[in-house]
Amino acid sequence: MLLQPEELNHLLQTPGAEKPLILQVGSRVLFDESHIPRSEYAGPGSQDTGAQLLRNRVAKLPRKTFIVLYCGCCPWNRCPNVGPAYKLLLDMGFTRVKVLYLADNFGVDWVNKGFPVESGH
Amino acid sequence: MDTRTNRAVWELGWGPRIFLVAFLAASVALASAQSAPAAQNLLNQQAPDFTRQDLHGHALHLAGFRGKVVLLNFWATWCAPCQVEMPIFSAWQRQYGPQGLAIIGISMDDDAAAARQLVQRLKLDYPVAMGDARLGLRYGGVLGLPLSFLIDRNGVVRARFQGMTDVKVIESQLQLLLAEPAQRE
Repeated sequence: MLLQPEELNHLLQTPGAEKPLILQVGSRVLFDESHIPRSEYAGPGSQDTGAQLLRNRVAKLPRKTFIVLYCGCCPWNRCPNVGPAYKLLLDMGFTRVKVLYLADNFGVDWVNKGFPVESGH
Repeated sequence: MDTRTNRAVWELGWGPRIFLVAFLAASVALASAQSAPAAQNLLNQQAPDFTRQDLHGHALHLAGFRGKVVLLNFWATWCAPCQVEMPIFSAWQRQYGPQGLAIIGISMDDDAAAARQLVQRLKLDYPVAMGDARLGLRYGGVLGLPLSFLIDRNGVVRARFQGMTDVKVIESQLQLLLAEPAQRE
């Protein structure tokens, strides 16, 4: 279920490797500041609006789509977003969902490690 | 580009040339994004100034707080540790306000209505404004919450607290700053 930042980065850098659909399920403001290249904003998983956005985004996808969720807004054990988003995808029947493990936050566990980022919408 | 590359580009014709220029510009933009420093160190630097409207519609200008010790706190409604800190900050505003402490909250929520609701529920008695990506980047990247900065009476960032922090540590540092006089300009 969990994917370490190093694993995801390796996956993204490896030619020919299957690239997951990466969805950020946290804050739009934080996403605009910095996000994983090619990831998409899917709304905060803890809020109804976010859940609806996520549901709409994946509704027509095959249930075997490889999906990686991440947030990184708060320390892992206090993140309100990834849990509900993960559960929603499982309830929808998705079978290949992983959650990026960001122990402290996106800044510390992804950006500060020098992994690639993009800014903007 | 070397001469040979220049010639090759020139021989492309206008359509491909425009495409190539756009591609190169995009590549440069992406490269700069990828090589951006993870978090700009603001310690002992002048705090980036900003002007916002607070949630009550009043102007909030950081430079207007010069002469006070400012605790600038980035938070969001969905951030549980933030909600532990904020009532404590509110108590500090009452306790240390007469000595020159000013607390400013910056909500990194997408939606001001949610922030307003929480501010009312917690009965915060310090100004709160909405933040955005641009303000976050000016403060070195607000890529995890809570995040607070202590700014001295001269507008210089003296401390940065990322994530769940023992509030006693923050309080002891702000007490030290409150004891420092402002330098005359």
